[in-house]
Amino acid sequence: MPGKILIIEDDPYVRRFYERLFKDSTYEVSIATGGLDGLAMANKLHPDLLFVDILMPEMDGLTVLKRLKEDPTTSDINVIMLTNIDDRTTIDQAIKLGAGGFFVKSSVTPESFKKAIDDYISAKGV
Amino acid sequence: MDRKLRIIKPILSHLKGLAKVSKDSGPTPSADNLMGYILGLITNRSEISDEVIELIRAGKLDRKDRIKAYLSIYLELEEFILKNKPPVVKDVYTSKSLREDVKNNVDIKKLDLPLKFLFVAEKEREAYVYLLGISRLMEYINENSGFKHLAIITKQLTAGTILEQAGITPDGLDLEKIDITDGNLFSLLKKFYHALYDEILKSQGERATLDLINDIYRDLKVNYESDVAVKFLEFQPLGVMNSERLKLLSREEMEKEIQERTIFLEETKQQLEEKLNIIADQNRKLEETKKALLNVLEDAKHLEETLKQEKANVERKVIESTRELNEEQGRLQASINSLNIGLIMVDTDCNVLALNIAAKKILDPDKFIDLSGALAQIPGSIRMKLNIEFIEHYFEGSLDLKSHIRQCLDEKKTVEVRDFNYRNRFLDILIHPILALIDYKNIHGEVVGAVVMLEDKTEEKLLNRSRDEFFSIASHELRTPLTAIRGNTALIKEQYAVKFKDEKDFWEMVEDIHDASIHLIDIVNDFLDVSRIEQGKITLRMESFRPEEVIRKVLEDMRSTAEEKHLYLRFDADDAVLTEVNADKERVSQVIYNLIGNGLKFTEKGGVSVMLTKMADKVEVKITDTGRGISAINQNLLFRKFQQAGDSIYTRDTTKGTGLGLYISRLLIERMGGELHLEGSEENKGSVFVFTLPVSSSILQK
Repeated sequence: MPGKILIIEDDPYVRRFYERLFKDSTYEVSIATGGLDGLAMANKLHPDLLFVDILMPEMDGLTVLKRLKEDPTTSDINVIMLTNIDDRTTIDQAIKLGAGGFFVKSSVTPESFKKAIDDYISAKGV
Repeated sequence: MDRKLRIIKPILSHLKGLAKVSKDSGPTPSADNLMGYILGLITNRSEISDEVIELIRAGKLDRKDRIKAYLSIYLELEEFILKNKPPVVKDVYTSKSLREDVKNNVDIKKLDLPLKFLFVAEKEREAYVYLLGISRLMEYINENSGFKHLAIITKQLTAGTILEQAGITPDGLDLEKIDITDGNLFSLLKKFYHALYDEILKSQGERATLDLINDIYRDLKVNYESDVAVKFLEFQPLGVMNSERLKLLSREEMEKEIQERTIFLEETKQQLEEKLNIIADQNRKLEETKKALLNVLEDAKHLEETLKQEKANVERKVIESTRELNEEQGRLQASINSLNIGLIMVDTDCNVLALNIAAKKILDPDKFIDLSGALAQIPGSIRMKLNIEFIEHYFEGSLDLKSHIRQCLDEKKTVEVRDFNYRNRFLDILIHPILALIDYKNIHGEVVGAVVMLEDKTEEKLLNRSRDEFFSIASHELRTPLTAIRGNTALIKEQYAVKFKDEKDFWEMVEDIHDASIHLIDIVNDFLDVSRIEQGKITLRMESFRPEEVIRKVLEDMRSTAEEKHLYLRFDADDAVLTEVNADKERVSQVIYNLIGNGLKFTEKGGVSVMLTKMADKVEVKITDTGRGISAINQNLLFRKFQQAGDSIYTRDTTKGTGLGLYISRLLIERMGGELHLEGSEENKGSVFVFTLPVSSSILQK
């Protein structure tokens, strides 16, 4: 089923990996390179699902999350943290700020990633 | 008869006439009558012609002189009458009978005293002697000071006595109204006489007074019987007319008087001797007292000496003690200054007893507290009586140090304030009570103060944080490229399986890369875990959940791995299916992954079975594999970091996991209140691992 997905990731290698991963996906996947970029795209696209890394230059993922949730036009977007930071404090912070989930990138296999997306989209869409 | 009458009549009339004519103090009819009568008793007047002439002359005199003359003449006439007999005189008389006769025929009551005296009754004589003396004195006062003065004096001197009622005349007292035979009268009269005497003495002097007394005495001696003058002498004041008195005293009387005086002197001498003895006694006593006092003084001096010495001793001791105290203070100050933890010592009133440099640095890092300067601002402070409130100032109300100290003092326990933010530094503040030692056995007694320790934890915190951050960031940095590696290799496997299905080497290489990346990711995860666990930075999210669920999920995930190796996975939950435990779900999952993973990894044939059993207050999870087992040596090192053992650290099998799994698992299980151990293992037979978790205390427990 169609769905718009936005991924915000600053590492070029990982970014390219995502592109490859979703090349043949049924979802409309857009990838932003940073927080500012991502916010603009979020406003424009209004995706159904948004993945954001935490450790990024210029604007970190938690701030992006906060901004998204503060802005009424984007507050309903489901934001999932997709990061390699995995300490409890950060997770709790993200949850508190309104994140819908938390994935550790390196631990996630492509399959499980895709499956999770399917779950999220179907959960929302229906 | 005619001739008699011829002589008497003119005399009598002359006398009468004189009575009217005399110039001073009026007529003396009674006296005239007396003289006339006594004359009448003499028939032969020619014998007494001298006396008659004197009588005529007397009539011309002043009253006082007249009476005096009459008295003298009367006595002469009386003497004549007594010497003669009829017909010269009318009758034969004795002195007594003559005076009786006169009394019967002449009114003697109104006679002037000198004359009256001749006729007074025996029992009245004594009083009249006094009166004679008194009248002469009163006469004298009247002549010298006037009648008014006499009256005043007499009134004064007789006040309060019966003499008060006496009439006062220039001649004397008129006692007509007074009972003359009253025994008390004489002492009164004597007293009065003495008073008059003193009065005259005062106003006229001794000479004149004595002359007067002598006059009176002579007159009395001349005119009256001898006893009158004697009586007069008797009632003179002491010392007056002494020579006369002595002359009168008979030898016997003199001897008696001498005896009396001697006795008196003897008695006086005795009394004096007694007094002397008493005085001598007292003197002796004084001497003894004096000696005693001298002794006491000696002792006092000794005591003073001793005290001086003692004082010197004490002073020396005080100086020594002070020096010791100063040294102690110095040592204390040096010791606490050498600490790099801030230390403030206070007493029970929160006065600062000691403050080290480190504390100053913490409180005022830019300047260091200059206490002397601070003291200068506190009005009236003399010595270092600095209160903790001053230190509190530095915290600007953000820390109520005083009440924390009070709490410590009251409860006798350490009070902590951790991670206190002060001027962008983090302080740990600990307040310990100082307890005095009751004795050397280290038994602690009452609180005598407190020690406030300020520890700047900022660096440590930063260090920790940065170490934390380091690991987080390091693991993140490591993971990011690994994500790309792993992800891409997975994609390659997925997307190009068909295309390069014949390239066996190629696939092997891709597979190796994929596996290596996974391995590396595992290592990074484990390293991060270990570092966190060892730092105590693991936060467990404890909740109540069913382990049966978690186990099932893990087995589900591991299914493909097991199938690849043709191994079985079995699970038996028995009666513990619904049992809930209180633990961190994710971490329990991690442990189970680790154990089941290990089981599969080290098994070539057979499989891994999991058994979940419920015990009293915990559940037990038993994981059994049919793998190659663990040798005895390795069993000892099983739960250590990099668990594989050998003779050298270089002997390791790096293909089989990181070697940290069991170490982490055990620590996690223990953190969750459980326990993990190797139940048993036999080479080539297999191994059994067991861990327990506390059962949840939920009431819905079955």
